[in-house]
Amino acid sequence: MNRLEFFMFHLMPWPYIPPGEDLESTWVTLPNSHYDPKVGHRVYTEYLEQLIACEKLGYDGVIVNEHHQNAFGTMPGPNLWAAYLAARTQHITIGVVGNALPMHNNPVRVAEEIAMLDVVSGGRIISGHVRGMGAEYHSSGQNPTTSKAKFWEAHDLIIKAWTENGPFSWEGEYYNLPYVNPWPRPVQQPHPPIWLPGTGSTDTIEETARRKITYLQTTTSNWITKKSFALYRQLCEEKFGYEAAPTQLGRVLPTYVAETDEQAYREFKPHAMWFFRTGLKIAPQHLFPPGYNTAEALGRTMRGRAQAGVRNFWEYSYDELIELGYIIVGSPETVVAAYERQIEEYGLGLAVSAGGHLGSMPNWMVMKNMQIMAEQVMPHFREADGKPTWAQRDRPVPYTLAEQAAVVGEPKQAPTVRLDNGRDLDARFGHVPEVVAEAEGR
Amino acid sequence: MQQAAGTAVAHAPPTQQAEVGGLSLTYREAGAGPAVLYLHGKDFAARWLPFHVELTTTLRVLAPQHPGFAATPAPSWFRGFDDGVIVHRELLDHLGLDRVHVVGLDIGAWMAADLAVFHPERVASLTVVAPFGLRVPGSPIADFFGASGPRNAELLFGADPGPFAELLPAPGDIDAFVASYADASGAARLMWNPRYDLKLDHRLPRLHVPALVVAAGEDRLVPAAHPARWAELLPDARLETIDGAAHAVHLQQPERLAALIQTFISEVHP
Repeated sequence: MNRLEFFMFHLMPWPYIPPGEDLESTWVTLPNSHYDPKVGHRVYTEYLEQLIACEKLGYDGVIVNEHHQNAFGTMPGPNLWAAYLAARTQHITIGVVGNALPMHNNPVRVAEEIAMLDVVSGGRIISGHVRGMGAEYHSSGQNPTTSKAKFWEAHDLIIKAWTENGPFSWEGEYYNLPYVNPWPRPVQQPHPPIWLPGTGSTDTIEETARRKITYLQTTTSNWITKKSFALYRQLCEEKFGYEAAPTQLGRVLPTYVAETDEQAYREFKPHAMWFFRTGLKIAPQHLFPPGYNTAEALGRTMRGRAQAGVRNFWEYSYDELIELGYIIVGSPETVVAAYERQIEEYGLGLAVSAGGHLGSMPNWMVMKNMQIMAEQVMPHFREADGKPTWAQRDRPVPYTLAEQAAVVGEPKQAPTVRLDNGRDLDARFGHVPEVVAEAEGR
Repeated sequence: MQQAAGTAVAHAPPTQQAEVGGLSLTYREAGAGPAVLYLHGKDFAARWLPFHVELTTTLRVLAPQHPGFAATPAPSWFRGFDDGVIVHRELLDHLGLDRVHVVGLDIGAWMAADLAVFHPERVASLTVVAPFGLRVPGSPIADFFGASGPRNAELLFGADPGPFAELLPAPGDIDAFVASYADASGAARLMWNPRYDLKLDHRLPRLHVPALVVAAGEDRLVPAAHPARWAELLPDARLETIDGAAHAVHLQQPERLAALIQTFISEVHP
């Protein structure tokens, strides 16, 4: 059985809205007068503290993501929160999963910001690349009919910006940049790990398998996850000639663990129901703007879902969500057994939303969920020392200045001032009279 | 009462193909008389309607399906109205037609105006019906791309769509939904953003072809300020309003609309 990595994935929802049944959609058109910035101050602070706590608890990583103009996830600028987390933690991996590439008019901005985060955090960043939900094309004015092509071009441009020395020129279908030369460059080599979330569409799975990118299955049933993972592994093996590592397959699998099965069931229920009934109440015209999918692909998906009896998120009962594997709820023993099945049957390597916040959960419940997860579930899927991945490996850059001085050393080029006499002065010592005197030839 | 009929035609002329503008264009042709190029709107691109039949009583009607709509696929390079202008101009070349009367509805009106702007010598007259294409500050065209099924029905047919509701995908009808999604994708390709062409503001006044602007009196999609503005900008235009019709005026008042167009063309083309 492979190791399982645990990630706390925060959507930062705004649960203070009427029930989904009374709303057309929690996206695009839900009036933002429902948002109260003064309450928001408390909500953001609690959410951020929950993520920060994950380091001490021993999670492998924390994840933030980008969503716009909705109550499901009030995090339009995930890189801002990643910067905050990088400042408030020292060791834990921080995933931005992801930046919605076609939403950015110049994708190099994403390459720059991720590199900034990677450098300042000492190489702790995962760069997730997403297209953005269909709803976000309504909210951004970006054209959904070109989004997939723009996404892959932006992705390729970002990877090239990180891996090839600049400046180079980019002459693409959608982006034409005479100088691509981002400062800084990322500290992780060749570049930060890339994750790509998907709902199970064949071409996303194929593109991620081809590029050895981690595929993250978004909230869905066991049945669809099993199909997606099997296809990914099959494509790796038969089409691209390699064996997929467990860390290439992740799944968003909201989990709640408590003292007993009954206790967990009772505590999680209202908050899970808020998430599925209200948070995910996305009107179809918002979810599928024209051209976001090809008509053929959408038809295939709709027929497949109809045939398999897949319903809208908000149409499932709590028991059905558990039964179908959308969520895991139970005592530590139950949750351990459920994850063992995920590993053995599906080949799961990355458990995302594995404990943490969901829906309308209060702060105390999140902390309780995470502590039981950390102490009674995670060790079961680790080596005997219980260490998270970040404690097992050397950081790309050491944490202390003393280690940095010992290992990294001096910059290759000293900051230099050319004096009027044509001699060069090392600016770092330009205030030391003896050095100046020598440079000036006195 | 309006008949569902508004929609039913016993015999549609067969579709034909023309290799024009770098793609395979599907079109229908029927009738005799002065030639009319009819550029369809964002909806019902595949249909031959009683409105078309009315027109054919005095006119030769050419009805292409824009790339990205109905049976005409859009290559990946097909992204703008200018690409559409080339396709439709080459269709005229293909059919040996020197000059035609051009009629367009909503997105087709925008395309028709661009065709006339760039090839005025090929356009005997221009008719725009409930047209898209202008920005009228304070009066945006309703967001049909983000409309639910019922809202879309209202935008097209008014508060009570009546029998016309049958033209829209029924809940659960995946094939019909996918077909309408495909046409909406064709429209999104051309006009998701921006939803107007500011250049028309200074191009239309230079367009000295006889023009007819038709407004639907109860249009909830295109505010009345739009056809009014078209009529102001076009130097040789007259504005007609068809009362009692919502945006889909060609379905709700096919005889009235056809008669207006026929009268106008007979004046231009005696």
